[in-house]
Amino acid sequence: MNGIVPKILIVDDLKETRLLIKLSLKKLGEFEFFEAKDGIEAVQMSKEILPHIILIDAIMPNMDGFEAIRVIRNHSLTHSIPILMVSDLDNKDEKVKALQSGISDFISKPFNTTELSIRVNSILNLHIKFLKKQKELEDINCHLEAKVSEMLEKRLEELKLASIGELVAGITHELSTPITYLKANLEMLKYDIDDIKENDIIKTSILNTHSILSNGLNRLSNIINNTREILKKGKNKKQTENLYSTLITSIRMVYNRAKHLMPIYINNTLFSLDINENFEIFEANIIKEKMEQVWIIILNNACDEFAKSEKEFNKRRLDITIRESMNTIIIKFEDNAGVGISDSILSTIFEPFISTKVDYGVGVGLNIAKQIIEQHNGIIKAYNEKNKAVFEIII
Amino acid sequence: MILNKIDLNQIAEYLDFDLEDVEMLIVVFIESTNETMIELKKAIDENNLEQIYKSAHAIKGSSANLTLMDISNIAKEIEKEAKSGNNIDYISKYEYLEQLIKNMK
Repeated sequence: MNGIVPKILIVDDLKETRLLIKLSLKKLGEFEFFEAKDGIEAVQMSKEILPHIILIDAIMPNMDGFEAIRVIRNHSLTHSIPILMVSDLDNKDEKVKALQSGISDFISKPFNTTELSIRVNSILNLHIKFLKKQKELEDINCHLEAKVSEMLEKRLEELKLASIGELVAGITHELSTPITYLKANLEMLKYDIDDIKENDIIKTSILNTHSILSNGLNRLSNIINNTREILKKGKNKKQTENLYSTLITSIRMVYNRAKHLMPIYINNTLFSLDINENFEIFEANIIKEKMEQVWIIILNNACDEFAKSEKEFNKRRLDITIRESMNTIIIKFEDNAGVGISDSILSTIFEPFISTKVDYGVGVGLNIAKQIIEQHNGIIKAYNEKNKAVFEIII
Repeated sequence: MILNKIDLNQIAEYLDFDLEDVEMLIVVFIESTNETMIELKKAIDENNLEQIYKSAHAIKGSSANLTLMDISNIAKEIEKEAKSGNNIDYISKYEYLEQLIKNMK
């Protein structure tokens, strides 16, 4: 019966009646039978075995059926067990008393064995369904608790990050003023240097130093600006944005590291810091900052791979392509750092805590990336093609 | 006094049981009823109407279940009289019952 062997408790002071009931039910299927010969035994056994149904006589020595039912109904473990009274109560009052005591059904002695088995069968079916539903509810409840605690943890993490964000926002704001000041003065200095007469050895040397300072300051300024860019829009609202521009912003952010490791091509154009971020337009409904986070994760992974690579610099290449295809935008990152992604991790690369980085990294980056892409109803795939590792994102 | 021999096949058909199961039931019934009969006899000797009622009630029920209506009807008469508090000739009814049960063997 629904994959379980129902337990049946038969309570009657007469051995032949218990046997008769057992033989009647045998026709229904497989059961585990338990027998009690009075109310006291019935109460005790109900608690111990938690039967799926109790068949009980009314008139018995020691404790009668009515009292036993009352006790069983008042006990938290046994209160919902169905009880079928099998008895030869003569008058209406006794039958009413039986029904009021909390039984599920009543059958008079002498009973028809077929009728008994049909009634038991229908009560058992209902009760087993009820138990299954009850179990399902308990499971749902249990999951709900886990879900709530997970959400709470996530929220705490968000709050923590938000406060770090505020702190960083404050620092970048404070830094931008002296940087502007430095930039302006460095520009003034350039005019002064220009006034020094040509061919002066000092002029060349100062110009050189000026150029180094200027580069450094520009880098600093870029970092500050990008950080502010990320922090100022911490929102989670999707907007129509240019995906190409998010790629350029992200490459700029990793460029200082990447430029020593590999040349980056975007749609076959070699990337440089002065590339116009709206040089091409691929509009999509996205959360800009989150998409940038995805590109940075993939770009950093590529950098890590090239850092391990023994290939000569001029043979290295990270190709980023972005194109439209049937109402979707496909972005591909292809690197030739090695010979592709190792087979051992290819199938689990987007699972958390999967990493090839033995020395550092916990392997959550691509998992975060996948979550973000899924949040945009997109697809992210990793595969190898012509000895190159490919990450393909479809938005 | 007509004592009918019991027909196991008829009982088996009525209960929708195998003959084997019916035989087992009858054996258990006779065993158990013999014990109840001892209780009943003792109760009659002591004129304990409450116990007469209880013992007769038990025999009435279990015999009826096996369609042993001759036994059940006598037991029912005893039960009814005892419940009403009547002092009738219980011993002759008891003896009749005893005959009926003996006849089964």
